Amino acid sequence: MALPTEAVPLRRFGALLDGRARSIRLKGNLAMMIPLGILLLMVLACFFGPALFHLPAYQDGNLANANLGLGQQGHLLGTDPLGNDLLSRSLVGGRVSIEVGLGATLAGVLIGSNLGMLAGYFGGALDTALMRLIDVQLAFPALILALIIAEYLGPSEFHEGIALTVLSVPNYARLSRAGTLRIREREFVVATRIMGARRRHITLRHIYPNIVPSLITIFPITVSVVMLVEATLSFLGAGIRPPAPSWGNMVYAGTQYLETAPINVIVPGAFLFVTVCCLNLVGEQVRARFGR
Amino acid sequence: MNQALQIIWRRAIHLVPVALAATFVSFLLVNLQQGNTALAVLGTSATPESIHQFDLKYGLNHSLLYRYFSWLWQALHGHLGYSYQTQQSVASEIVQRFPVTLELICLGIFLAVITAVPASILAARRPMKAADWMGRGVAMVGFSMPGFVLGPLLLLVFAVKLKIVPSVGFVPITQNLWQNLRIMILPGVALGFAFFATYSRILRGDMVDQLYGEEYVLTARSKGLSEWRVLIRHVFKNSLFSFITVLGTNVGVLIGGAVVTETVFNLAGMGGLLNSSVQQKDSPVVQGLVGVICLSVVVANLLTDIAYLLLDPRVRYGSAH
Repeated sequence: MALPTEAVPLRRFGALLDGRARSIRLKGNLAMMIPLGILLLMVLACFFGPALFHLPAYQDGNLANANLGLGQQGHLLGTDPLGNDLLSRSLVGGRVSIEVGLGATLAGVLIGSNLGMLAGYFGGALDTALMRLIDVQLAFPALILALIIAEYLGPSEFHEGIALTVLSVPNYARLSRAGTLRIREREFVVATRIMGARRRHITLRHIYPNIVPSLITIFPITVSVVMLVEATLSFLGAGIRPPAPSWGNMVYAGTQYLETAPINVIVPGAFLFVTVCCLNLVGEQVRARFGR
Repeated sequence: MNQALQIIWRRAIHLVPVALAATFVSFLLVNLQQGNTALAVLGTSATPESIHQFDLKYGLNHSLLYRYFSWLWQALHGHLGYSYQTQQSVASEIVQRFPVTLELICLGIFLAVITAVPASILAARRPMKAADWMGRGVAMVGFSMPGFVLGPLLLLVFAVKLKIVPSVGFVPITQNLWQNLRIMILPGVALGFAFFATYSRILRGDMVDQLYGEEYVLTARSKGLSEWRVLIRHVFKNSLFSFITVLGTNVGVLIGGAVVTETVFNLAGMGGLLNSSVQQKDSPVVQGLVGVICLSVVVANLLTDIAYLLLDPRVRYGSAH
């Protein structure tokens, strides 16, 4: 669960935007399009599936329907020991992972890139303070930090999001600081400075647009790491609490019935695994294509 | 050698404020909801009287800063305070549980390294061929399979269905090595798998970079050395440097993984204790554990630097930096 340590400049990013775009997008892109398609399906299924297909309710199930097998009585993937439909629970539980995964990573990019750029551009005390904070964070195992923050704030989706934002900010801050230091001395920045542009203009209009694309290359992989940690927090009891479903707390509930009904672990585990695996595959492709 | 000592010394001094800051941050985190501590621990039966007693007993009536420094002073003398829940000494609880976590982590690293090294050498020998693709596939599964899903699956297959190993009944390593390993092997695999993925990919990438980018490879080949010898004696030896860095910086992630693995397998280690005491808001235990963990990470980083310096012949013969 290590975050990627280096961002790579998006050299061919421009090609996506001009006339060459179509050929690059379509040529031999199955390795990117298949996992991307599965991810899109997963998102649609999680947010709209239960309503669209009139799936059985995901909570308040009837104990009389407990532990039904695959496909029995209209329960496609069976039911859990409380009589709830496993498929709808997994789909609804996926919403949490997707929301927190995207939300915390986006917040991390926004906060981290700005902090890193300010530290890199202005240097001085701000820079020192930021770098020391990152040092401290390195001595602090990420999962344990997130666990303590989430649990002491109180288990909820929002608090989990805060804990995971804390986790993803330093990495982006470090990368955007390094990018800023590289770009700060380039001719176009120096020229703008000589022309008398204000610092606000230089940082927001000239430096920021040049560091953000390289941060995007590690976005999918960061989302996958954040999702894994989110599920882990829920598994450990610091995230979403039952009866509300999430992939992590479903697996935890399932481990209690491992010997009699292992499907309770396998179904939510498989949803999580497929999502994270697709994110990793997309991330690998993005880095290979637009990086270096 | 003198230079090496100097570098190590400088690194060690640099790490002191880091460790201090890490413990301070964790102290703030677990103690910020000051007023509620007594209530949270004593529950609904708390009276103003008993809350006052509780605060006096654990020194909660002092300021946060005072409490941090007195905690630090006590910690330097080996006293980590007493648990809110069990009234036990935190230090002795940690000492009891430390060996289990240490064994788990060592086993995890060991399993990951002995599988990742041959896998990456085979993959680097013929990049983008069968062995490389297989390694890539297995690594992708490792990256994407969380420990808390892999753990129960391993238990299901090997303990419940095949009955090869027991699923409960921990035996200390000092009592019976064989029985201990039988119970620890599954947690070791569950913890090590993700690290196999990281190690094998990094080692493979580094070796391929060297094979195609370094001139000493050409020299070795033109001397007529066999391809295996070039790969193992020259390229692998050089790749060990980046590998050791990864090993050292990964200790924190490993400890995080141990929290999950110990919870899944019900092992009485530090990780399991951390999770249960975080949930019970047992701040002295959490604080003590986090202190020990931060110290371990910092020491592991220092050991990595030392290993790096000792292995680098330029440093050994006093001609570097």
